[in-house]
Amino acid sequence: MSDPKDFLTTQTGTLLEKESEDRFWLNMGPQHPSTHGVFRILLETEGEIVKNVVPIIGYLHRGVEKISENREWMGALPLTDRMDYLGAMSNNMALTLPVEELMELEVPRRAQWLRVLALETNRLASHLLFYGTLGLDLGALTPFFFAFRQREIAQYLLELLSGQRITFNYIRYGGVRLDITTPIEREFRKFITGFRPAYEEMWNLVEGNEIFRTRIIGVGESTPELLIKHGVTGPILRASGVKRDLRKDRPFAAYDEFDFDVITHDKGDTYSRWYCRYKEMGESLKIIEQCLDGMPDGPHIKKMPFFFKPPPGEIYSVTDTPRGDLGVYIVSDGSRFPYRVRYRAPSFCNLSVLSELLYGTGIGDVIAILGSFDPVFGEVDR
Amino acid sequence: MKLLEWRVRKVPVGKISLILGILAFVLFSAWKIWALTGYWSLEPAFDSLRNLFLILRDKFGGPGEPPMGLYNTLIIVLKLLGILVVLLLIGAYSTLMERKILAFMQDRLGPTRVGPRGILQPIADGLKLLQKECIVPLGADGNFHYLAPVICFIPALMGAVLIPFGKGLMPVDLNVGILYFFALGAFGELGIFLAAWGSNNKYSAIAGFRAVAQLVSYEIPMAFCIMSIVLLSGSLKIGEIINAQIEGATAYGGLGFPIWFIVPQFLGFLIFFLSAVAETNRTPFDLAEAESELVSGFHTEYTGLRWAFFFLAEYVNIFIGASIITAMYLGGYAGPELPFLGETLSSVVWFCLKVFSIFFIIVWLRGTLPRLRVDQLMMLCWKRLIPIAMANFLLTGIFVFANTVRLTPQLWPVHLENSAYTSIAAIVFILIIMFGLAWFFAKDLLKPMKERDV
Repeated sequence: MSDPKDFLTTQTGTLLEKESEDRFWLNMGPQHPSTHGVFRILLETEGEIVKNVVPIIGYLHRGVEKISENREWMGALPLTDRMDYLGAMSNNMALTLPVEELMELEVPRRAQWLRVLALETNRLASHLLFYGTLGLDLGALTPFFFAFRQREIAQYLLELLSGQRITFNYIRYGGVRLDITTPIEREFRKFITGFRPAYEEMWNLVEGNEIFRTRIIGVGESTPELLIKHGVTGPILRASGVKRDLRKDRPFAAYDEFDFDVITHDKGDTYSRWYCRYKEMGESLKIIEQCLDGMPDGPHIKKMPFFFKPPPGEIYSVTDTPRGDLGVYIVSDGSRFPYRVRYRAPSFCNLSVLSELLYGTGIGDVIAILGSFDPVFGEVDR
Repeated sequence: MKLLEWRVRKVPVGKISLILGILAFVLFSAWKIWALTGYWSLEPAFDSLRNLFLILRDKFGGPGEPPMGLYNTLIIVLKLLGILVVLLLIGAYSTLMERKILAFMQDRLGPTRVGPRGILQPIADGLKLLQKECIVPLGADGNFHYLAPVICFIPALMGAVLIPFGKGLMPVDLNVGILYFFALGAFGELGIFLAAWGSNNKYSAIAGFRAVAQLVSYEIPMAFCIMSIVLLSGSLKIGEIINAQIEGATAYGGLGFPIWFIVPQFLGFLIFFLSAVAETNRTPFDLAEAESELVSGFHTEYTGLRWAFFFLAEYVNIFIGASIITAMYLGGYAGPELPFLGETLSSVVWFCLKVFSIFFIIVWLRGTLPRLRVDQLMMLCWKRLIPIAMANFLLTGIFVFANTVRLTPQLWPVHLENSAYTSIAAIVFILIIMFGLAWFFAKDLLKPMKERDV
């Protein structure tokens, strides 16, 4: 495929504007330091100004949905870790929820609280990574190290809790795999006390930095109508003023027992997305603290056989992840294997609005906007 | 459960023995000096070197003779070799220094593995780069691709003849000194553009366009700052500029009182500093190599030693820029004489200290600030720096004129009864105007760029 125009006309047929002498095609990715994985964008630029955008995905497709059909229900669970590898807990949660609903399982209350603890710690780690990489995308090195020092401890806590650093496989059908112990709880509390000053510092590092603000305020502005039209969810939607959070609107796990705010911002630009994610870290911290204070007693899992057969039926359920709404549609034919599993990945839907926001911006802004979307390509391509 | 305790503490035998060894060496040399000369100084060492040169001169001919004697040739070759070695070491060790300073700012350790505290890291890096293959991409213009790092590196070396390392240690005091520095800056940028064009890579091409636009823009405020300094000192020679700051007056002019030019030229210092950072393609003006946007910018297609030449040129350029800033605004090698070191060596120490503090600030910027966007970079230059630099130049002119009237009242037709009071009043008036202007622009700068410019 030597000429990108051939690709456009044959594959997508979306050559938007007449070609001009002053323009050229710039191929960004899949091997590029700041496309957050294996994303490829074809940009037609006039000097620095982007005039035409073609996002191309699929470089990390592993067929998670099809592989799930050939495994037992329990075997489908670890595959979800490999989708959104930065927020793997919430993916486990997303598949667990419809299966429990189908089987009408009663999950113990302690298990639900442990799930919330794990989910929020993972959300914190994920948003910390976003904070660092946005800085890297804009050319600043220090925020990355400030964020990663805290993220390292958060990963360590999750490792204590689940036994794994990235692919946790912690939230199971009927509860969670391991119970929390007193030393682990002590480590959690230590983390919270250490995190607060670092959190303030991270705010000052960006908010008190003139060039940082200049680079992100007013860049990639979006309206709620546009975002809703494209099915965008999560912090990106909340950054444009829509107060939608499934933890509040349709509480799963034990989120209805917790006191936290849904963070919104009115501008819908890169700064707002940064602001929402930053403030959500504080809310996560609040939830973690409440979890540790009021952890109920009881079993951490309802004992289940390793191979089980859910009754025939189909269910669609949605949960909130650090990146947006992760929908799971499952069909069971009553056998040991799922008949069909289908994921509605938030990163995938969020990326669909990208080309509309990129039009007319500079190459530097392309990177800033893509970074503010915080996509995970394991989830986009599945 | 110990959290984040990675370093194992033990008795630092190597470190202690190193310190003891250095101490023993210093004590031994001090005793030797004492025994030989009877007083504490390093001057005898220099004296013996000087004697060696004098013997050579007697044997092989002296300076100023029509056929250049072997002595002169030898001196020039030695000077050039010294500069080359010093510059290459500075270029290599600047990288280590930068990494260590950045590590300090980010609570890390930086390189620790090669040698004690990573002190040999630059040499290991250099050896690694030496072994790597130089890949020329298919469809690249081979000649340009080969020439670009050379053209980038040579001006950096040429600029070194200007550096006043210490009192009497300036390789060449050119009579167009500061203009020469200015011209070399443009020459080096040509190398970047050749690299961009010769690589046959779109990212490199964009980087080349950016670099040229940046150079053309940021040379203007720089030139205005240099002109202000020339007005104050009355000379283009670097040595004379330093003298004007140390002694107050030179053969060509000067203020009449010794003062470092950072005081009357604070705005000029800030603008020159920013422009120098922009000229050397450093954060926050590193748009030509913008790693997250343009992969590596103009040196995307370079590997091995060719890449290393770009890298060395960048760091040598930083060093030269910092030296010029030191010479122009911070009094060059001026400073009180240190004990035991003698006049020459203490001036070298003062010069190195000043250059290092400028280098530290440049690294500090890298540790703190993100990169500007292209349009913001241009706006900063054309809408902020150039007007301020022009105003600064104008006010400097008025200031110098008033000062000249004060110094030589008999030359001027206006008869002033008490010229000293009048000129002090004029200076105070001008200072008020300068600070007023500075405040006016600074107030504007505090707003976010979006509100200012749209």
